[in-house]
Amino acid sequence: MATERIQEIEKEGKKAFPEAGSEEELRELEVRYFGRKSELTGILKGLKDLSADEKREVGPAVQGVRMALMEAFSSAKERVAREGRDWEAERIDVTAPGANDPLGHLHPISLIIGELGDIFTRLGFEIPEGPELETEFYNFEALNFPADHPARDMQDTFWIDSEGLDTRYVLRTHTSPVQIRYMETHTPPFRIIVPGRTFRNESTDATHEHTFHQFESLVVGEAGDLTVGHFKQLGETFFEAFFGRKVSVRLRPSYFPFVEPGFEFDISCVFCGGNGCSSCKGVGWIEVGGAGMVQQKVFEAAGYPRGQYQGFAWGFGLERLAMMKYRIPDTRMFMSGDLRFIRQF
Amino acid sequence: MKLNEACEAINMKFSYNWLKELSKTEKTPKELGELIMFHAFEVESVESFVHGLEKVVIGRVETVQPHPDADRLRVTTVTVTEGEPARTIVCGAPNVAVGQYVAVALPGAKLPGGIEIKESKIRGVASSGMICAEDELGLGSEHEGILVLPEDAPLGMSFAEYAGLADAILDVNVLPNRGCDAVSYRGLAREIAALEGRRLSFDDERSPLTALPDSTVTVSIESDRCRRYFGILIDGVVTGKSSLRMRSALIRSGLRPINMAVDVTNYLMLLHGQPMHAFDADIVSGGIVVRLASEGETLELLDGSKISLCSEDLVIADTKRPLALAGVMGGSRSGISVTTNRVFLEIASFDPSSIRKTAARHRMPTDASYRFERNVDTDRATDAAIDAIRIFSSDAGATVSGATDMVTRSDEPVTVRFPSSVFRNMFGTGISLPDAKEKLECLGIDVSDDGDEWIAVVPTFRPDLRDGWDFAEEVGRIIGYDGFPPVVPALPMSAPAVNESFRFGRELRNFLAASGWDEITTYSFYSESDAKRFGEGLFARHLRLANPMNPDQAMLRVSLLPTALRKAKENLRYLESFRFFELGDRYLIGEDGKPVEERMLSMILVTRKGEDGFKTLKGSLGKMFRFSNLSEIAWSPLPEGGATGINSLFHPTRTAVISLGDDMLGVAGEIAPFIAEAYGLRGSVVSAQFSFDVLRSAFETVRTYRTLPKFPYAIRDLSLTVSSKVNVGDLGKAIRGASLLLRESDVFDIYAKGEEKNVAFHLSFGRDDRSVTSEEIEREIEGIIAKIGRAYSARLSS
Repeated sequence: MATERIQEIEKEGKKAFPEAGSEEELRELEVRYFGRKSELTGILKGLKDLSADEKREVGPAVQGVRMALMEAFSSAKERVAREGRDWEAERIDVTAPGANDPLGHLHPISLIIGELGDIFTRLGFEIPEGPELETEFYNFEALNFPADHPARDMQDTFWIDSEGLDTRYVLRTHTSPVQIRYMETHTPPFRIIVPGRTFRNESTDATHEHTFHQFESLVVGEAGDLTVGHFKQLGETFFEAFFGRKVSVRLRPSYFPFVEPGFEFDISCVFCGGNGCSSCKGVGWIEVGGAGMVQQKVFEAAGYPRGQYQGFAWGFGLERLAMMKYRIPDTRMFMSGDLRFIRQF
Repeated sequence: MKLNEACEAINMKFSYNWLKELSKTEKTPKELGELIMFHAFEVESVESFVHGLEKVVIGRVETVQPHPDADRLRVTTVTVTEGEPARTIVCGAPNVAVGQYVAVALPGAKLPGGIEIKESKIRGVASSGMICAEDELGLGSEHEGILVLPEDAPLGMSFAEYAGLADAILDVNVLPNRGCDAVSYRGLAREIAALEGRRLSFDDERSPLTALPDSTVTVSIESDRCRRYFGILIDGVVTGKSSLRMRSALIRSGLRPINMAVDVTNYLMLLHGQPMHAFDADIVSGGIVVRLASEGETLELLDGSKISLCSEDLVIADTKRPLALAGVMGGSRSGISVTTNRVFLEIASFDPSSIRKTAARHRMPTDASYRFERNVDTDRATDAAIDAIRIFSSDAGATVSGATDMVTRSDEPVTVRFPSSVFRNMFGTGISLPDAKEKLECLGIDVSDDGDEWIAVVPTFRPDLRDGWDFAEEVGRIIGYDGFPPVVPALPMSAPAVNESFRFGRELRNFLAASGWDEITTYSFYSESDAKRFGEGLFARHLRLANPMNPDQAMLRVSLLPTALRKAKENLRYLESFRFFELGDRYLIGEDGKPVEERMLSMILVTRKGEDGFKTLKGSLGKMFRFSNLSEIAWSPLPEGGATGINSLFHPTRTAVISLGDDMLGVAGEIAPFIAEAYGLRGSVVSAQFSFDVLRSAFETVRTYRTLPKFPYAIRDLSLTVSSKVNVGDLGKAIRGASLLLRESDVFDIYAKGEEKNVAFHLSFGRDDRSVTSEEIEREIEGIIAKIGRAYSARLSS
């Protein structure tokens, strides 16, 4: 009998809770079903008078119904709270601006250096750095620029007034001096990249800036272990990772004192894939910079025996890579300090 | 890499026709350009030379009549096609005559000078074309009369074709290591033939040097910087025009024809790469002397400039005075003029380094100096002399009356031994030794084997080839680098060492950007007045550029602040408030007199009016220190007189020194108002300057777990009234030192009232073994007040 009544209570309750329309009605229902004088409570209290068998039957049944109705009650409570409120009175203007919480932006060159760092670290490269204020020895002599080489002339290099100094200093014209500095303290095999600020004494225009950034790459191993083909592979691997698309490398003859052979390093146009477009002036190739197989005299300057090692190196302009990647038209933007520019990156 | 410019590739314009004639190539101009581009030198452009000569043909003057209405004009009839009626052309030239072969521009022609030819009436007479003068054809500046061609000129032929002007020009940047041979037609032709698999030698064409009596102009060489001096004395007037063929060749190579003597020297320079100089022999007094100049000797050059010589300059002199700057430029006095009757021609070889230094010293790079700087071997003078004698005595109709040949040091072929393994080492297994040998032989290098070694005999015109790697490069580029496909290298596995400075720089940048700081870069130099603001002591420690772009960029920065302030001003044109930083180097002369370079973190914050910039900055820096796990950061006021030296730009009483224990990390504060004004900044600008390395070494990267407190802290507020002169930082430090149970404290309010201020602290007390009791807390607070009260005249705020 008791079990039938319990089932009826459940049925009534499951009907009553969803129909309740106000908090008052809910309170009444709460008293009716869960209050001290409620029927369910009464049944629970009466359990002690029942036989063991009846207890086993009625006890779990009444607890189960109580749980089910509690559930119905709490969802009804949320429903009433949601429906019964004057939301309009509480409206805020969500279109008004938020409190100022500024976000800064990295310089595009820093972004590029970060990306290079990640790519080359994955390839097992170290990232040494070196001074911007260099001696004539590291910037020129050790890199096989003969003493009377035209590149040491006044027009290309920022020379430091050497009065009172121990030797002649320059603002480094390339990141290549770090090749020597690194090799002086390390033994092949190794692979490094060197990002950094470099200087050339020339007037600025849309494609020239006297202060710019380069990144050097140098890979050295035993003679015969690293050939021109390996160099091309490294180039393709890097540029494909950097531009996120298939890239081919093309080498043309060139001359730089610290490499032999020297190369002009071209990559297939990263905009059109080599079909020809306005960015590559229709030829399908883009010139990225100078490269080559390390000149033995450079190894000698770093204290390595002549002929024992072989390697390759490149020195690319970071502004050029950034200009390609972000479509920046004018190299002077990088040193402009214009925050409207910086905030685009 | 802009090294191409730095290393001075030499640009030369080459005539395709001339190259083809010498090299016997069958390639079109475009194909030839690509061949050179991918195997030898950069080719800037390949362009058709003919511009505007399409409708200019060779004609014969049949009749010449006076013009009925104009004294200075003639009415001519000219045949341009045999058998067809002659056309009437009105001509103004005084030298037009019957029977002349001339260049006729037909109606529709648009000449190089811009003249368009139409059917027209000139003073009432119909004219159907124009008989051209040289300038109108782009052949020089002469407009004295029409160009008269030899009588064997084929009637009706295109004039451009006849004059060799139907040509293509290859603009080639010869690499600097090949200035020794390839800045000449013969050199490039030899190269082209080699690239096509042929060995080109000009030795077979060489006719023997005519035996000549000694020149009456004597030569004496007094400096070993002159290696050979071949002098040729030419009698007879040679100041007229050179042949049309020669002028055309010069023009197509980008040179301007001048007169017979000069044109021949230029022509032979282009052909052989052997610069020459023509002297007026009658000006040479007592013979030629090649010697070093005396200090202070002066010389007026052909371009009109007067230079003062130094004892390192090699000159060509006579017994009285310098006549020419050897290998660079001739002097004006001894140059060829209209009155010249006898020419003394110099074909010499000089020490490259001496010429380079002289050309650089006098800022006078010339076609001659470029070539001498890159070595003109002593052998070349012979071929050039043979050609010169032939041209002067045949084409110019002059008499070569004597020659003198002095040699102080003769270049000989050089033998080089090297292991043949260089080829495989450089290019991998894809290269065959017989193929390599063939390529070298095409370049004029004789190769023989000696076991694993090769013996190469290098001709005098290739002093750039001196070791095995040099030969490997030659073979590699002739094969073409496209012939070596990418190969994955076998590299040892290694975990690269981490460059802590690089890694920290990235982390710091990323943190700052996430915290609202934009990153900029600025120049490494500033002006002398920027430098002076740091006071005399530091001004003297500035490094100076020996050759600045301009005075505003003459000094290397000892601080990143001046360039940052300038950028702040520029940004204020568009933005009201902003914060930016730069990670960059400063440079100065260190205590030991040696240059020092130090990386700095420079920060600038410009706030809106009414905002407390210092507070915002300090808050942001506090976050930066928490990010780096640094807790015991001390901010102390700049000491009395501290706004000097490197801190000269800061406000003396609104600037803090930030330190960690004994290490000074940096300074942060307001820019002094007079400095802000000097940089054109209005309002409050605050800045922080840190030494990057000190910051990096201070930053705590090691994180270690500390036991969490088991028992909750009890928090009490404490508000103290102190003199406004008391530093809140000192007060807080004193409080922390005054209680053993105090775990944390922070200031939550500062309220100024007259000479005093209220400072309110949240104090958290706790114990490790159990909860603190109210009695304990009361005791601690009383203890704090007792100690602080004495030291700072502090009392509880009412």
